[in-house]
Amino acid sequence: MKKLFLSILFMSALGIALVSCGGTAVKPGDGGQTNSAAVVKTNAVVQPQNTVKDKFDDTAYKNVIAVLKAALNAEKSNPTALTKLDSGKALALVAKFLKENIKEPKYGFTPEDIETYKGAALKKFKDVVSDPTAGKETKEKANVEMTKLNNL
Amino acid sequence: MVRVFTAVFLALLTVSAFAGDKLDVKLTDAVNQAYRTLLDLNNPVSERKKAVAYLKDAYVKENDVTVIDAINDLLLYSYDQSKYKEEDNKSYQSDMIALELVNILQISGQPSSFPALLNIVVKRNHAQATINAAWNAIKAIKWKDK
Repeated sequence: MKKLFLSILFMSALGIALVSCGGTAVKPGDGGQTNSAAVVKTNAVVQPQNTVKDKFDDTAYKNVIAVLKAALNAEKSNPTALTKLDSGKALALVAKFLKENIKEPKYGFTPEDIETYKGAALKKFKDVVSDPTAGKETKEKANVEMTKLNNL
Repeated sequence: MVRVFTAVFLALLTVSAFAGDKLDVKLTDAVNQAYRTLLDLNNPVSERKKAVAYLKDAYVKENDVTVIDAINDLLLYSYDQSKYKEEDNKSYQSDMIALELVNILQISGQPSSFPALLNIVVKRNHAQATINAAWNAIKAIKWKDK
């Protein structure tokens, strides 16, 4: 009985010793020192950032013209809420382009020119929102674009 | 009373600020005469064609840059026919005048023509030939840094 009791005591002591030796793993990123056992070595490859601009954000002249022409032609041949949304985004891009170049006196752009295209874009977005055939997602996108346009 | 004066002063200040943004364009006498002929869409087409030919010569041969300002103005206002119909001979003939004006802008490649040309392709109050010519003129714009 005594032997059994001693062996249980010994096993318990051994168990406690083993548990106390294993430190708590520090999760990477929480500011603490990383337990060497928790470090996982990886052949980390730095992924290149995706630097390709959204075509509706790229104010390079060639892009602005290409986007506008494609959007207007698409709307003309197939006037749906989606093509109207793209036309609105293209017109907003034109307004952005004009705004970026208004400080160049040789170009002679005026604040009215910017307002003209902001107004034209806004009209397209409003048309999409009030279009009963437009999908919920398309209407939400039009609302987002309207907010972006107000901040232009 | 002070409030009224302040309000009037601020209003005048705002108006003067906007007035400063407008281009002060002075056309030469001959260009002005051609501009006046083209301004009235009721003028005979033959007279207006002569005026266009004059403007082209004034720009190409004499390098009179005020021609471009005159054409921009004509395209933005007089030749932007909101009720344009191809079947209506009068508006179609006026649009053919607009086409010739656009062709002068294409030769010039002036960035200041961008709003007038955009107006044509966006509103589409024109014959397809005029719209196509406007796209070509837009592509031919010579930007300083683009």
